[in-house]
This record gives sequence, C-alpha cells and structure tokens, in this order.
Amino acid sequence: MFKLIATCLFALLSFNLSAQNKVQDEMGEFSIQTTPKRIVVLEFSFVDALASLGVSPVGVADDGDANRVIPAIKSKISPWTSVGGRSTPNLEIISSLKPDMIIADMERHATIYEDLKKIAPTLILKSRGESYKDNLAAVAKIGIVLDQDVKMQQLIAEHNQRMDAFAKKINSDKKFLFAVSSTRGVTMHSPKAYAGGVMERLGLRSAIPEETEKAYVRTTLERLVKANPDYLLVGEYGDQTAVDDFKKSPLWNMISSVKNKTYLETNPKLWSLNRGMIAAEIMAQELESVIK
Amino acid sequence: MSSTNIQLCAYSPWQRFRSPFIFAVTAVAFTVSLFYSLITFSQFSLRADDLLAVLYNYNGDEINQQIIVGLRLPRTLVAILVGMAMAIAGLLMQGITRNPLASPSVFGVSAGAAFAFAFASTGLLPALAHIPVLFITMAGALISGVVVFFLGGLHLPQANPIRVVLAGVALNYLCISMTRSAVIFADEHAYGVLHWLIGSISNTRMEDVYTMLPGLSIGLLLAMLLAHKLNLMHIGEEMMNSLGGNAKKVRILASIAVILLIASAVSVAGPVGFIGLMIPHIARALIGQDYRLLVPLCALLGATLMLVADIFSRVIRFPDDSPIGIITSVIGALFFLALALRQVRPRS
Amino acid sequence: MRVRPAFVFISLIVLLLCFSVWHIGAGAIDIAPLDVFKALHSSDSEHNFIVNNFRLPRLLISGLVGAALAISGLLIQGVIRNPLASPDVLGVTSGASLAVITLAVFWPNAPISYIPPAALLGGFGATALLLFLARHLLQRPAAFALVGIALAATFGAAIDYLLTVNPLEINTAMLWLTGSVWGRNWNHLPLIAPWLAVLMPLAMLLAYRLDLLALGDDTATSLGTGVKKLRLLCIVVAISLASAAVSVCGSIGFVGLVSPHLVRSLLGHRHLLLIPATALTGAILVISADLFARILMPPIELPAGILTAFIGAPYFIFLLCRYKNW
Repeated sequence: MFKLIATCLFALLSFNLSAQNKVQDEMGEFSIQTTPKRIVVLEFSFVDALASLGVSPVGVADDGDANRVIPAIKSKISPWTSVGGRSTPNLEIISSLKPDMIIADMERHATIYEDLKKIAPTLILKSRGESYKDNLAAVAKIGIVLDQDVKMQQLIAEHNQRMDAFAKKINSDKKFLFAVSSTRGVTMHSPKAYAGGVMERLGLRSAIPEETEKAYVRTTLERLVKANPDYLLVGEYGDQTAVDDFKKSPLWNMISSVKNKTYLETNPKLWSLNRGMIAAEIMAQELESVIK
Repeated sequence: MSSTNIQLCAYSPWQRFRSPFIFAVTAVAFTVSLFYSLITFSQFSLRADDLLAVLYNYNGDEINQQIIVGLRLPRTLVAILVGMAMAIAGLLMQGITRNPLASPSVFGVSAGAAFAFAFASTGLLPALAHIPVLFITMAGALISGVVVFFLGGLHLPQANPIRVVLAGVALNYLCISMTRSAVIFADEHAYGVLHWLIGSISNTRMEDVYTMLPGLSIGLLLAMLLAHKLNLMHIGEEMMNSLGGNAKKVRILASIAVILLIASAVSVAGPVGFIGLMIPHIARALIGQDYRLLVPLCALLGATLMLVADIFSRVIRFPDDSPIGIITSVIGALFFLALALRQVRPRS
Repeated sequence: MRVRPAFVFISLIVLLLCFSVWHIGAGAIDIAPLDVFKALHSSDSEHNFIVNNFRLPRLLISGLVGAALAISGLLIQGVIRNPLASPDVLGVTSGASLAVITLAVFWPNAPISYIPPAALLGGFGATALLLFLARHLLQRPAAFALVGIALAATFGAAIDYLLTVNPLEINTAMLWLTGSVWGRNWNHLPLIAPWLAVLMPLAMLLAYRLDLLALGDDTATSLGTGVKKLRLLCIVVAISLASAAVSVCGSIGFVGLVSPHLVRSLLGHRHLLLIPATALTGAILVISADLFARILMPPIELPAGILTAFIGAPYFIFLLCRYKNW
C-alpha cells in the first residue's frame, strides 16, 4: 500500500512539474508526453481497466471473438476492432489503427516489444497469470499514464469499499474452489490465480491453500475429492468437457460441494478471462448469491 | 536374430525350468507393482487394510475404499490393458515384418490413431460425434498402417528395413502436424496440444475398461492362435509355405489384431509411446523365440511396465499427476537409441 | 518428365515474384499490387509502414529460411541417398528445440535474444552427438539415418518431459518453436542471411562431387572423391543451414523433405542445377505458407509450420507412391 501511495505521490509531483506521465512497467520506465486517445490493448484485463475509466480502446486482441468480453464491460465501451489472437496479435492491424498507446502483457508480448514500440509507446504490464493484487497495481499504472490518476485512485478506493462490504456480508469459513474445465482436463485456480485472489480478498478460504507457487493446477478427480471444496465453481469451455466425465463417477457425489448442492457452473469468461475490478465485483455478487 | 537361437526343442534341466521361473518372477513383479499402483502416491493415506476391506468388507460410504474402487482400480486396469495391447501389437508387428524396430510408435500407427481421435474430438465434422471412439481410432490406425506398409516397402520381397522406419517417422511427423492444426482450427488453446500427443490415463473410468475389452480380447485371441504360425514364419517363409502354412493369411490376420489392439489402447489412453518397441525385445532376451510363450510373457511384462510407469507418473511431480506417456517415452526413446546403435553396429 | 532447365528456372523465378507481391499485398490490410511497388520506394505512401516494418522482413525471412531448409534437405538426401531423409529426421530440429526449451525452463528470465543462439547451439550439439554415435556409419547412410531418428526421438521425449514438468513458464519459447514467422523483423535477418550467403556457394562447389556420389560409392571412390570426407562436409553444411533456419523460425516441416523431390522430378540429378532450383522452391513454399497463415482466418495468425505441412504432406505422399526401387 505504501508503495502504491508513493507511486501516486511521485506521479502527482511529476505531473505538476511537466506534462509527462511516468510509471515503472515490466520493461523499465515508461513515459508518455500526451494523454493517449487511441489505445490498443492486447489482453482482456486491460479492457476492464479502461472501461472503469470510461475509455474505449480502439483495438482489442480478443481472439477474433468480441463476445469474449463480458457484457458488463462491453456495454461500457464502444465497439472496437479485433487485432487477432492474444498469443499472436496482428501487428499490421495494430499499426493500421494508428494508436497513440499500446498496453501489452509481459508474458505473451515481450517477444514483440520492439515491434510494438515502433508503432506507438508501449506499456508492458502483468496480465497473464496475474494475481488479484498484481491486477490492482497494473490498473493504478494505467490510471497514471491516462492522466486520470486521481479518478483511478478514487475508483480503486470505491472498489475496495464494495469488496469490503461483500466480504462482510459473505463471511463464511467454508472452503472455496474455482476450476476451469475443457475437453482436455480440469484445472484448479489457486489463491495465486486471479479468481483465487478475489476469493481471498473476500476473506474466503481456498480448498487448496498448499498451492502457493503455481496459479493453475491440473487436477484429477482424486485430487479434487481430496481438496474437497465446500463450494465448487466450474467454468466450462464447451458443452461436453472433462468435468462431465468426473460427474459420472460415484466419487463426484462425495465432494462436499456436490453433496450440499453448492456446486455451480459459471462463466469462465467472467472468472478467468476478464480479470479486473468490474469482473471481480460480479464474481463477488455470484459468490454472495450461491452462499447459503 | 538368426534362426539358430530358437529354443523350440531345446532340452536341458535349466531349459525346462527356465520358462516357468521367468513367468513366476514376472508374475511377482506384476503383483507387487499392481499393489503399489493401487494404493501408493495418493493424497489420501490409503493402506493395505483398505484394499483388504474392499475385497472382503466393502463399504461404499468409506472414502478410501471409494477412491480405490472408483479411481485407482479403473486406472490400474486401463494401465494393464493398454500395456498388454501395446506390447502384443509390437510383438506381432516385429513378427510379421521381421523388423526389430517395428512397433506402434516407431511406425507411426499410434500417431495416426491419435490424430483420428483428436480430429473427432474437435467437432469439426459433427457426424463423427455419433461414431464410437473405437471405430474412429481403428480407422486412423488402419489408414496409417496401410500407408506405412506401402511407403515402407513391406510389400516388396527385398526392402531395406530402415526404409520402413523412415516412412514411419515421416508419417508420425505428418500426423503430429495435423493433430496440432486440428486443435488450432478448433479452438484458441493453440499451444496446449501436448495432451493429444502424449498418452495419459489420469482420468480413466470403468467405462474405459469396457471400451477396451472387445478389441483387446479379439486381438489377444488372434495373437495366441497365430503364435505357432509366427514360429514357423520366423524360421523362414519358404519353409512355412512348404509346411502348409499360408504366410499371407498369417500376415493379414496379425495385421487385423495389431489394428484392433492399437486402436483400443489409443482410444482410451492416447498414443502411449514405446511400450510396443521395448517389451518384445526384453521378452525375447528372457525367454527366446517361441511365440507361444512370447505372447503371454509380453502381455505380462507390458502390463507390469505400464503399472510401474503409472506409479512414476504420480511420483515425479507429486501431488500433481503427469501423463504416463512422458515416462514411457523417456525410457522408450533411450531404449530405441540403444537398439538402433546395436542394430547398426558393424558386424565382425 | 524432364523439362529444359532454363524454362524451370524462369517459371520458378516468376512464381517466386508473384507470391512475393501477393505476400506483401495481402493480409489483414489489403494493398493493391500497384500500391505495393509505390509503398516500397516512397516513404510517404500510407502503406509504407506496414510494408517496410512487417511484410518485407517477413517475406525476406520466409524466403531465406525456405531456401536454407530446402538446400539442407537436398544435401542430406544426396548423402543418405534416401528420399525420406531430411534435417528433421537427423534430429537437428529437435536438438535445437530442446535447447530452447531447456533455456526457457532453467533460465526463465533470459532475454529473448538468447533464443536463436541457443537453438543454433542445440542444432550443432545434436549434430556433434550424432556424428559421434554414428562415426562408423558414414559409409552406411541408412544406418546413419536410423541413429539420427533414434536421437530425434530421445530429444523429443526430453522436450515433452520438460514441458510437462514445467507447464506454464514456456509461452515465449513455445511460440518461438511453433514454426512461425510471426513477430520476426529486420533484427532477425542477420541470423539467417550470412549463413546462406556463405553456405550456398559452398554447396554449389560441392555439387559436382555430389553428382559423383550419386553414381555409387565404388564409382565415386575410383574417380577420386574422398567419399567419407565429402559426406561429412555435406552433412555439416546441411545441418548448419537447418540450425540457422530453426533458430529464426522454429521448426517448419516438410520444406526440406518436399522441395528437393519436386525439383528432382523436373531437373534430374545434376546438383549444380538442383541447388539453386531447390532454394527457389523452398523459398516459394515458405513464403506461400506464411501468406496463407495470415490470410486464411484474419485477424488470427496461424503458425506457418502447419501450413507447410498442409501444402507439403499430400504432395509428399503422392511422390512417394511413385517411387519404386530404393
């Protein structure tokens, strides 16, 4: 927290001295002279941050499918141009949009940093595999470079208030777990993953507290039964996925969440793709409604 | 591998007890690994008592017993069946091609079956969803088998044995590229395709055992019935034909068995590598060339190896599971390398 | 089917030019052919940025990588005298991939610029190991290839092992290795161009001696060619070219396998002609693969390596069916 305030103070000071906004990004120091108007973002978490400020990105790496952005975020911004897949965004389209800033992910886009910089000033932040706290730090940086630091800090404070309110209301000592399921298997999200971080923020216990290193843990039914969450939320990518095979086993009914009918199939786009404050609050709402 | 070391008619005190002895040792190894595979390296503290309780005093509400019956047992059974299928498929392939390198993975047959499987699961052709998975993998195994047969020149009287390996490798590569692209066209997880290329038995259920049983039993039965003919074939094809055997018929029947075995293994566990290459060589080193003994011994050894590999797949990243194919391919690839080097050693 | 060499070369060059213009013109942003030329030489054209920063370097890199892989395949097939041999078969590609994955796993914070030298090192390391294990086998090409295959399988298993045990930290390296020209720019050109500039003339010098080799070992020896030395030299040249290509673009399959066949069926067996023609064919193949990778599902980019498999594999099978005695 102190760090955050310090950064903000520093940002405010530098704002007063010149029209230049500086932040530390994953590649070093990022500075921009003007307030960016045409922004291209290469991960969904950045869309959430921009939407909170009411800024519409001109281009989004949405894997060619605009519906991957959840409606709550989509409704806040105007339509964008798809710049291709997140792992291999299309540089030609990005440059044709003539952006004045690009926000990219450290893990996926460090390879094309030089190319992106040639197109426009590029802010590289953490997104893929980020934790809840990483996300808030990234959001604050986006606020600074967009010259809306004060507003962003206020939004974060409001978000914190709402999350505190949710935490108070939810107040459960049960074990929670979010997992995604595809045709290739089931993956649990540890407290290091975004969804796990949101649960932690709400004061909920994780069913796999021992996983402190890895954000995503591939699991078998055996391990899931051992984790034995009291509340299990599963985001399914597709109609028929690995979790449907789990359900056919008698052991599935031994998971406490299934026994107590607190098993919930939820939207993986919300819980795993669209990381950010808006998504976190909807997740908190969903958790609140499922908890008895 | 000359025909002189055939031990069909050998007779000496040791020879007489050798086979039963080897079978006994293998059976013990099998039982021990079966035991460990059932109850070790679980996050639940399973004990031998639980296993006994399952046998004599089964209680469906007891979680340890449920874990053994609902998860460990199917997994172990699938490991056994896949090991048997792959090992015997390899044995038959080596028998009919007389190529010591013949095996489902080296010849690209299991890659073909796996591609068919991956392609059907992507849902690009909705019609495929209604066909049982066994038929789909059979079609894949059949097509790649036929392709490798002709590309590799197995229909020619005199062909370089390495030619068919090259054909198999090319086919393998082709199938892997196509599996990748099938997955990429179907969804966004473009770089997580490893799953389709490595065999795994982490999430098997009792239904998988039933899926495997018909293909496996027919394949096994065929292999047993053909054992005598394969012995004759090993001595020489002319001899065989003169003794009233029909080499062509044996080849076709054995090929059917191979396709069935590989297809049933791949449809449940994916392309688990190199079992079919390693086991027949180990079995031959232990017991000689008699196929009537080789078939059951390969089945037993294949099952044992798979059980051991299954235990290791849980150990290396405990408590996470790893695909079993990782273990078999690491061991198998080294075995392949050693075998290749031996194969090409200058003969003095 | 033999065609006059001049005709073959002219058609290949025309084809290369057509594909190049198409490659630069087509994509997520379409540029009319005339505008392509305008964009190339005037800096104030609206498409100048896209053409000069993205498409032109990609075109050149695809072309050079294709040429390098194709020549490599030609030399290896010439030496091993087996139409199914290729740089992939000898374990060069998997050796290079293993090096990159190892780097990514054990040194996750290494700069991205370390990947190409690591791949190059891996390719050479794999070759050194192969030459050591198969040092007695230079006279027996098929046996030599077999050892290469087994080595490739071992590297492949090691890669799979590393990827399974360390699942998440591999994104950049995986992207590098999927056989794609995405994200490659002018900085990558020096990684491949000098190799080709030095090794292609060397291959041409070797061409005459390779022709002798095609007559059979006995004839070649009696004509005074040091067969063993020649084989070794050819393999080293071929593998250097393949490693350089892999270090830039990852493993792009089937180019080294298919291009030599195509050209041989048109030009016969004279290596002096085969080498430049194969280089052109390889370049056309990879350029078209990169083109289709960009235009098939815009704005999504596909890995070019998969496209070469789609173009190359059916043709490869067709060709093999026509081979009789080998």
